[in-house]
Amino acid sequence: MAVVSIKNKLRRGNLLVGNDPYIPNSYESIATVTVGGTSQASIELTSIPSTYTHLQLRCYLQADRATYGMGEFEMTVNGAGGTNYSRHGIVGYGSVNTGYWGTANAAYIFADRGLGTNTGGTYAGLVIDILDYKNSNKFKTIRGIQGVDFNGSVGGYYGAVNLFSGAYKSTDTISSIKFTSVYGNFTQYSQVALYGIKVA
Amino acid sequence: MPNTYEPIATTTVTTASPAVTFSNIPGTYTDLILVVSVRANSTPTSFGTGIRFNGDTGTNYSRTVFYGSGSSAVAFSDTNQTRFFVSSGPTAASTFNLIRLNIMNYSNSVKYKMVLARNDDISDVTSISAASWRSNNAITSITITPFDDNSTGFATGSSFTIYGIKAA
Repeated sequence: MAVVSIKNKLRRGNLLVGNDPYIPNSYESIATVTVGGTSQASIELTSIPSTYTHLQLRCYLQADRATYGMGEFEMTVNGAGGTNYSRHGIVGYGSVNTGYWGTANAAYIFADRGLGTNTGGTYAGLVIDILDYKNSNKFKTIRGIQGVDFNGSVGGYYGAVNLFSGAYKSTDTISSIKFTSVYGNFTQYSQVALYGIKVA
Repeated sequence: MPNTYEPIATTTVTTASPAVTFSNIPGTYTDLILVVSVRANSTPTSFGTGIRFNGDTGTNYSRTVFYGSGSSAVAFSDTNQTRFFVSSGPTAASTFNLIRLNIMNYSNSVKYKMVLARNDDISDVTSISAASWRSNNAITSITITPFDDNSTGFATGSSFTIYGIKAA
């Protein structure tokens, strides 16, 4: 059902069939990092403003890893290591489907098959939500979808698709996010785009 | 900062339709999101939705899929397909299939295209999939086609909306 705001005189729909297109109340681009001609080991977003309610990361990533079609990467927040991260996920690759988890990791480790490679010839896509990123009373919840496909298998690895969630176990406001490739560096055109979402 | 999540076009089927095409998609965004709510015009024993980019009917599509149906979870991959087959279902009366596609970096002209999809059909299956279209061409059109054993097209009320997201 569409909703009309009397106060603001705005008409908003939702995603249900027959409604007008849904337009988020606020979805703003904060910053984007795109890898240039020289591959790099990490991608970092710093000085994230605390003026939003939620964050979304939209990523398009590849590593220069030989032999294998699949790479791996990690995410850390505010430079924190220790045992500050936990995760749960489900993943499908080839004919395998399984779950994975961790409770006290030094980084948020995306699924073992989370990154495309230049050997496989494709990039991985990720959409990651970080909810209530500036709330000082909550650990921060991370959730997302990830996938990579390269028309079968390369070096014994098949494409993979993941649904995952996790936590950064700190009440600190998130002000920086860093992605690090585990095998090889991020290649040219790899991109991490950060968006902010406000609530009314 | 300006809002960067914008509707580009939307179509709602008013009479049974064999396909829906969005053409002349502007190259001014970073990612596209396609939201589809569909069902077949009849009640077939099988139904699915396929996606093609730029009218390409070659064997340039592949996908990796993970789905749950009933008490089963299944993963598989398809190679050298002639379209990105997103989903199966629904076949139950009055149910619609909700599909949400993230089409990443769609306008670049140097890389293969990557799609993340989620499909929700309450009558049959929930799935996530990753797909690639092995083309370096920018995506300028998207065609959504039904596949059902009665060949009766998309039902009235099926809707299709495409959004653009622009990175800073």
